[in-house]
Amino acid sequence: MYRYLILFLALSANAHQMSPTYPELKSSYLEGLSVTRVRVFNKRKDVEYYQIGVFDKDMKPIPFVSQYDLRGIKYHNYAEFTIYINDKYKKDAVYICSESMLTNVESSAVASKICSKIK
Amino acid sequence: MVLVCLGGYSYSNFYFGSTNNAVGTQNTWDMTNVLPDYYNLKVNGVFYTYTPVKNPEDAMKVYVQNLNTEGGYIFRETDDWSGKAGGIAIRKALGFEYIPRELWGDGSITIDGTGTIENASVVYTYRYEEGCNTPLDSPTCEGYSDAVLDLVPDTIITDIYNAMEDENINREETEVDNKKEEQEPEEVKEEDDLERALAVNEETLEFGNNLAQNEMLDAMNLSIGMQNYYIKQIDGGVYEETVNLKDSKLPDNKYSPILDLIGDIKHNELINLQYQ
Amino acid sequence: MIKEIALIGIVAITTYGGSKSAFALDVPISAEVTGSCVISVETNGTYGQPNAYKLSTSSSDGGQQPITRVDVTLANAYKVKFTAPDSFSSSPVLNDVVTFTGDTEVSAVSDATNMADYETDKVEVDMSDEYSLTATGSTWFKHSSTASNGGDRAFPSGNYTAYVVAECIAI
Repeated sequence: MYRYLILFLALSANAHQMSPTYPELKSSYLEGLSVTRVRVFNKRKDVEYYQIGVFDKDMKPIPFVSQYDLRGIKYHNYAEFTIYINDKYKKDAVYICSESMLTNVESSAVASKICSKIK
Repeated sequence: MVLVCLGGYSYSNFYFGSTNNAVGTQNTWDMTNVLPDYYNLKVNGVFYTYTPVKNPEDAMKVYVQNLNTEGGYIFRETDDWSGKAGGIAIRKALGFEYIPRELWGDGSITIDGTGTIENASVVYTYRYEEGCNTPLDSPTCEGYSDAVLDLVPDTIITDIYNAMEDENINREETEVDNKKEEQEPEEVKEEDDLERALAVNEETLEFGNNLAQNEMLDAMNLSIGMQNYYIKQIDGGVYEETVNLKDSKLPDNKYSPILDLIGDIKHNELINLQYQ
Repeated sequence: MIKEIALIGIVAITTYGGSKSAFALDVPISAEVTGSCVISVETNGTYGQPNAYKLSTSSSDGGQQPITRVDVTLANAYKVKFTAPDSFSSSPVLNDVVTFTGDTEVSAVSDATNMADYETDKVEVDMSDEYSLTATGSTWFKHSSTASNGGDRAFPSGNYTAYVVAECIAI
C-alpha cells in the first residue's frame, strides 16, 4: 500500500553568485590582521540567508572575523563581506566560501556553495 | 504650395516573439514558413540544441547555419565533436542586431563526418511592429515621409480669391439693399405719418432730415461768415498809473510801539477767552 | 596674407621639433579580469515512488531529475562538485536505516569542443562528483537520487526533503 508523500529536490531556476574569484588578502590598519572583501549576489528567490566561511586546502574551517558571518540578502540584491584573518592563520587560509542557508525546508532543496580562492 | 496635414496621431509599438522549432525534414527549413508575416519583422536571436550520436573515436563536425539572400551566410556555427563522446546535448544562444526577415535564407544543420544528431531544435526570436500595415499608419513606420509626399499633387493651381473684384458680391448687396428699402416703407410708414402729424411746421421736418440740415449749415456758414469769429480783433490798450506820490520820504509812525502793545494786549485777551 | 601665416607656423614647428627631443608618453591600460561562477537551479526535482519502500528521481519511477546549470566566465578557474543526498533534511520519524544512492551527469554543454570531455574527466568520490570547468560557458548537470527504507518497510506518510549540494570552487 502506497502512501502519499510530498517529495521534491529542487525548485525554480535561481542562481547564487560570488565574486571575485581570487580575492587578495591585504594588510589591515589593525596590527596583525589581514583583510579582504567578497561580494555575494542572491538570485535565489528561495534563499534569504548566506553564510561566509574561511577554509584551508582540506576545507577545514579557519578562524576569521567579519561583521556578519551569517547575513540576510534579499532576492536580486548583493552584499559585501569584509573578512579579517589573523596573520598567523593567513598562510593556511585557502578558500572563502559563501553557502546558501535553506530555511524554508518545504521549498528549497539545493544548497549552493561557491568558494573563491585566496590569491 | 499646399500643405498636407494628417489629422490625429497614431503610434506603433514593438512586439517580440519566438518561433516554434524550425527544424524540418532532412534538417533543413525554409524561413518563409518559419517566420510569421508581421510588419517590419526583424530577427534578433537564434537558439539551438541537439544531441550528437557518435562513437568517441569518430570525427564529426556539425554546422548550424542560415543563408543570406544577398549571398553568403547570416551565421554559421561549427561544433566539433571529433574525438568526443556523443550523448551529451549542446545548447547555444546567438544574438543578432535585428536583421530584417528579407535577408534570412534557408536554414540547415549539416554534418561532416561520422555520426548523426537527434532531438534537434532551432528557435528564432524576433521583433515586429503593429499598426504599420500601411506606411501612413504612423510617423515611425518605414516609408512614411515618401507616402506623405505622394499625397501632394504634382500640379498646383493657385487662385487667390479677391472678394472686392467679385461682381456677384456687389449685385447681391444691391439686391439686399433694395430688399431692405422695399421692406422699410411698410414698416416705418406709420411712424413717418405720426411724425408728420406731430410736426409743428415744415421746418421741423427739414431739421429731422440730416441731409437737409447739413445743407442748411453750409448755407449758414456762407452767409454768416464764421471766419470772422476766428480773426476777431479786440481793441485794447495800456492802463497807465494814475496815483502819484508827492513825497519822496515816508517817515516812521511814532505811535507804532503803542499800537503794537495795544495789539498784544488785545491778542492775549482773545487767547484767554478760550480758557474762561 | 593667409599664406604667410601658414609658412611661419610651419617654420616654427620645425624649429621646435629640431631643437628639442620628441616627447612620448606611455599611457598604461590595465584591467583586472575577475571571473565568476554562477550556480542556477533550472529544473525542479521530485521523488517518485515505484513501491512503498523506495523513492527515486528516475522518470521511469515517476520522478523527475533536478537539473542545475553552472556558468563560468573564466576558463580553468573553477571546479564544480556535486554531492548527492545521503540523508533526508526533513522527514517524518523513521525507525529504519535509509540507504541512499546518487549520481551526477553532464546533461548539456554550450561548447562542444571544450566541454564534451567533462563527463569522461569527472572525479567520483563517494557521493560526490567533481568536474573541472576548463572552458567558459554554461554546463548543465542532471542529478539522480534514490532512497530505500531498511528492511523493505514502507516509508511513513509525510513530507520528505533531501538536498543536493552544489559547490563551485576556485582553483
